[in-house]
Amino acid sequence: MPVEASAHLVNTGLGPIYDGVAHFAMSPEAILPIVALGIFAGLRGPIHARASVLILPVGWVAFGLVGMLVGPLALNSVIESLPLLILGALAAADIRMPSWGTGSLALLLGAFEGWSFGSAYSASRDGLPALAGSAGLVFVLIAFVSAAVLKARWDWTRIAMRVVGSWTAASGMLLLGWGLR
Amino acid sequence: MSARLMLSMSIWRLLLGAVVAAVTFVSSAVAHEIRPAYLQIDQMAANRYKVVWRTPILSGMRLPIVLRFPDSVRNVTEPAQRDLPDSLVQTRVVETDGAGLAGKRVEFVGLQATITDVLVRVHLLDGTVETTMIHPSQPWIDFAATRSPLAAARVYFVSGFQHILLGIDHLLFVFGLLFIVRSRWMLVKTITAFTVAHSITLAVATLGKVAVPALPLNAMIALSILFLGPEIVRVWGGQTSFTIRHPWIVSFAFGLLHGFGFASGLTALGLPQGDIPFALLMFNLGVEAGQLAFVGLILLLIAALKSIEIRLPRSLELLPAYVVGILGAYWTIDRIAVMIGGMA
Repeated sequence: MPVEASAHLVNTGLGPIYDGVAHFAMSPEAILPIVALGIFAGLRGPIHARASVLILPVGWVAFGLVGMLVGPLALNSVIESLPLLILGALAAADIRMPSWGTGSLALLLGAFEGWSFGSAYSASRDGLPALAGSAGLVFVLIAFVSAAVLKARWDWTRIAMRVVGSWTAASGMLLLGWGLR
Repeated sequence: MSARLMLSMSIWRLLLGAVVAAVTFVSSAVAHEIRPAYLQIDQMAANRYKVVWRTPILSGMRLPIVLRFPDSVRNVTEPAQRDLPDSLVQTRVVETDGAGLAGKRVEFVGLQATITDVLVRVHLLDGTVETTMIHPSQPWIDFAATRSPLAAARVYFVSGFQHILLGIDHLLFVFGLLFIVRSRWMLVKTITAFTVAHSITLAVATLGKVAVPALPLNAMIALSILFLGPEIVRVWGGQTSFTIRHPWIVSFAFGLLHGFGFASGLTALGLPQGDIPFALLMFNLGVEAGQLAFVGLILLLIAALKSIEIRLPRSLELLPAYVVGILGAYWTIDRIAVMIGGMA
């Protein structure tokens, strides 16, 4: 069915947006830190959640554009493991932090992941719509996760969220160990 | 009303990101250094197939692989052979007994003595396309005896689901409707009216009772989206209109048009006559599931943004109307230009 389904996109010219959505949806290394940030922000309260929902997609697009222009950075997997490790640990520990701190984390994450995403399109003419598509999904994801955590009224659900954060941190540690090998 | 306000707040981002159709097919790379052989089988009629068989040439030598069909398969045309710089291509038409290729085995004799693979692509009349990689360890392919009803249902359902989720024009129309409705009950009525309407035209078009030319139809569908832009502005300005008072009627009327659009997606699958009612049902269910998933995603997002207490400045509240209107206008002009170009 791909042939038939793509006919729409050819007609509308919105195919690259879907490419960006699909690219992001199949990138667990980008999704997991966003989930961790959403959990952390949700645990901290609505002001933190709002800061991450508004800042993360902006950082993603802004640094995605820079990535498109500059191209990929030569980063090793040690650095790539840091978002998972730091955000997972913050969510697991439920550390107190001012809202500007959460906003800064959202900006840093958006910059890091957005650059990485945008640089993948540095040689493509379809980079901008793909970036827009991915940023839309980033917005939806961080909004869903942080809102779900905010809605968690019972202690056990908050604990479950922190467990997810600890698993994310553990994934980051595995990646870090792999990078230091 | 708060629901409408929340819709306005989030829509400009939603437009770009709310549709997750999330299926992209990535073909796997061939690991060996030698190019694979390639077999393409296109079903032409119930028992007749066009066969294209390409074997790579390495250092001037053709790979010693022989394609062997079962005894019940006979050539209708003699193999026509073409020598290409890197391969040898044979084309022929074959005929089978009553069951077609179902339940039969095609062998690649000699493949086991090579380190290459064979890429097999089978395109059946019902639209099914199957791609398989055959390795030297198992140098044959078995065609499934019959496709189970469940498997067939899945094909049509998934096709309907994908058709609406990848059909941004249909989604944008539903999206625009969400701005116009002012209560949950009206939302249910409006979405139901759209569903009933497009089900009717999907059925009559698929059954061949009515045929609508594609080019004017596409232009009309685009026009239906453009139509919603000014209506959203009216809602925002506190005005009223027939559409705002009775969105379900407008939804029904334009739903009839969109149903013809869905029908083009279903007929593109190449339906066997006996499968039409079943395929129609499953495809339509897929479309409904996709539509409900989209509406559900938006409502969930609205609820999420409400929890986070995000408010957009009033100056940005009209952005969704302009996005819907501008895209509708762009597609309308584009499709009318294509239509005029097609007539010239």
